[in-house]
Amino acid sequence: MPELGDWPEGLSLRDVRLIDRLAIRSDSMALPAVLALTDPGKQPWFWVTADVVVGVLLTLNLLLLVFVHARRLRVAARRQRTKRFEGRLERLLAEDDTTALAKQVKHLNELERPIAAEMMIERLRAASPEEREQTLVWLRQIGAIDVLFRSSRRWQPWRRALAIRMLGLAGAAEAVPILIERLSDRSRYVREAAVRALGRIGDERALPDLTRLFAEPGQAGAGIVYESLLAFGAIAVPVFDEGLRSPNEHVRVASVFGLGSLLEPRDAATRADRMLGDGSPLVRGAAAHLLEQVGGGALPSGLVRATHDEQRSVRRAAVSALARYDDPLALELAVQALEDPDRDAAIRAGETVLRLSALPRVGADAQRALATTDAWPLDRARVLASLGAV
Amino acid sequence: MLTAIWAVSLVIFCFSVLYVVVTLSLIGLSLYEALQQKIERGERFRPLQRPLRPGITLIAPAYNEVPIIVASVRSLLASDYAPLEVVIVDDGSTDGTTEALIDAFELVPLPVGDRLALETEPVERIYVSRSDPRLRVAYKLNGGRADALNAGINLARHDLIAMTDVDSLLEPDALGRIVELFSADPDHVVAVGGTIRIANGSRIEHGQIVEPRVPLGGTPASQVAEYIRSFFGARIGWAALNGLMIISGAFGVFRRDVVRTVGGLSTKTLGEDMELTMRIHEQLRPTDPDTRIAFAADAVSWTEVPPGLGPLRGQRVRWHIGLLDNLRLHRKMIGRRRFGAVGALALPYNILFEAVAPILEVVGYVMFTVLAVLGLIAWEYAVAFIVLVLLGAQLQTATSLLIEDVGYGRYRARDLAKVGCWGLLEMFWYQPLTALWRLWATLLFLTGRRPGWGTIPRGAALPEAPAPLPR
Repeated sequence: MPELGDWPEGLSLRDVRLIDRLAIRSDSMALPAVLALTDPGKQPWFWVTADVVVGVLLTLNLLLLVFVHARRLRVAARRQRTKRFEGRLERLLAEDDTTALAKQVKHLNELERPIAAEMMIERLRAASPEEREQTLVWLRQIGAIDVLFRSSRRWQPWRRALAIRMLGLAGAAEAVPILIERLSDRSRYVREAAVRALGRIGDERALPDLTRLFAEPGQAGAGIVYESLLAFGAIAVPVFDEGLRSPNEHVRVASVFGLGSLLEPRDAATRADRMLGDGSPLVRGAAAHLLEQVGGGALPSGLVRATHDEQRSVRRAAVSALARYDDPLALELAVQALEDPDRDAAIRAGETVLRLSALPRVGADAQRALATTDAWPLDRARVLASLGAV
Repeated sequence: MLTAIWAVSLVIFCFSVLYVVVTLSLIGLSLYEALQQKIERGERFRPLQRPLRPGITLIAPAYNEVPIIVASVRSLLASDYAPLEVVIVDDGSTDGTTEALIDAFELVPLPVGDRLALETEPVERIYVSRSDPRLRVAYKLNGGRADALNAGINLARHDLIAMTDVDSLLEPDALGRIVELFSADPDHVVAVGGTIRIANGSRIEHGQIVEPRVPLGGTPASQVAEYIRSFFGARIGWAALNGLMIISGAFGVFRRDVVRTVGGLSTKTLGEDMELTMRIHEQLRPTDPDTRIAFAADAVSWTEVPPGLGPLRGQRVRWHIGLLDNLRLHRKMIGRRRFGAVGALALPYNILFEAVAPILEVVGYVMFTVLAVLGLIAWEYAVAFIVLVLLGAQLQTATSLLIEDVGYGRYRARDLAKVGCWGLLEMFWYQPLTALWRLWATLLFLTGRRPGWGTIPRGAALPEAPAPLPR
């Protein structure tokens, strides 16, 4: 039985028994660790650590409380200020004499300027080119653009993203180099904000960098880059044309849709027909989808093949597209597709036959098919058509 | 004996500290993400009206819902998204749910047809509404919620399917906000979850929440705190890591081709929503590591939660069995880097802090009580421990409320204060109760007293090729 006297002072009999059971000698190197574990209350570090942790948690809780309420107060105060100032600014902006207005805008005080800037930027959403140009002049005069430039380099990513978004909405062409620089920002949100802003501004200088992002997806959301490029209009056509040759199937898909949005229907149809021979079902599906948008008289040869594609997603899109072609072959293929092993393809075939019945050339044959063919997809289409749902 | 008790206490203490540290890190990440998302999706954000955008089929299963079904369907049809199709699947109701819909929406029969992709109990009738042809109603033999959803997936016409419940109130712009995430990355995002908020206590007009309020009662108010922590304090962070393990059955949108390809929802587990999410990760990520399951915190569906402890107990037991089921079914993913953050982080986190935690919690409560009765409590330790846990938990709740306030701001200050207060008191009644129920669920799970052992469907009979989303 161990004796208390053999051990360092302050140990209880329980500690000594435990240490004895663990076969630790009184001069062992492990003794301090064991003591710390068996009864940390006797170790000063325990209470110091506990105090620090509790202190930190308490402070964080208090800070949160203060922050939430301070923020609420700030928002309420700003809302009131904005309300008061809004009427005055509306009158200012309605002034015909732009020189006098510029003078007054210059004399806005420190609290009024950010509100004015925000309101002006909001107005830009629906502004005509002349109004936009004029508002931009005022924004420059009150120093808003300079502030946004500085903010676009702040260390908090959300501050940078917000500034970039505002620059995009403002449409300031002088911001383009900075926005291009931000395409390589370390934060994905900032990069995406820059992509959107460049799309809004639509300056050609940004096109090479956006093209790179489009061709090598990953740096920013592919859909965001795609939409930004679309905003450039016809000058983005070569980017999508090049994209059709990309080894990445997703880039090819986006390019098909992009060309469909930007090209004349005939040109878009030529490219879509070619892309129906692509190795990827995703691309073939997109091409068939595009041919549905375009429509026409004679059925493209690629679409005929696509109605027998091995992938059901392609067949579905192709069968739907048939409805836009006033060609007897389209009707024949649609009737065949009523037996497609895929339910959705069969349903679409029924709807396609019904739609074809309204076209001048194949309409009569389609109506005959509707009357004589016994297939549930046709019955379904008829019911839906009677409700105006096809 | 005392030494053993002391060792267990030490384990519980270390576990609690670890939990606080990990959870606060997750909340920090959620806060960071919420602040960044606010820039493009803030209060002025309105989903774009694109000329081409993917259609959505909204599927809601119903079983004996006559009292609410008509109002609920009207609320679902109030969504401002187009193209939209709403499919209500009556899972063999015996109270005339379908008949109520027939009368209210002038339903006319549609042929059922064949070639259904997923196996379900037979669908006997399908209807379309004359007054709003976006509405379809299917009546099928009873097979449970997952089976009804699978039937809805079979009937869905659009590229995206949204799953919800008939008692959920979807905000009109919720679907548009979710589609924005699909459109931002159409090649990799395969599913997006929305936020579930609690409707108890709020003012509802015409199927929409007009004044969000926090209920007075402790049970629903504590659930508000819990939901805010779960959705704003955790899911935003998990989504940022691409480690989201669950898209709530009450509101989530999936690519139809993906759901069909992985075999639809499992009818063999109680946590079919988590199981589907996990199966998508398991089957898609090894071949396409960029596959992403995202979360739209600003896409909101409101739901009623159990107002009393009785129904809450049943719900929590089911949820916990569902969780344990999924951990067992997908155990091969644990610690595997090929499944990304789900395998490396989310699964270990859930094992430690969701599956094991209730056991340790209950052991802790029992030990504390026994030692207190025996007069063996070292009160200075006990008080230090309680203060530490209380402050840690309060910080977790307060930061989640901060995310809600800064990012989404749906509640008044007094409602936030109510949530904060109930969150503070939770530790003394709500947490022990839920821990006890979860322990009970664990015992049920371990003794096999539950509806069958789950199996993972390995793909549909006719696997579906991916289709490009219109853009």
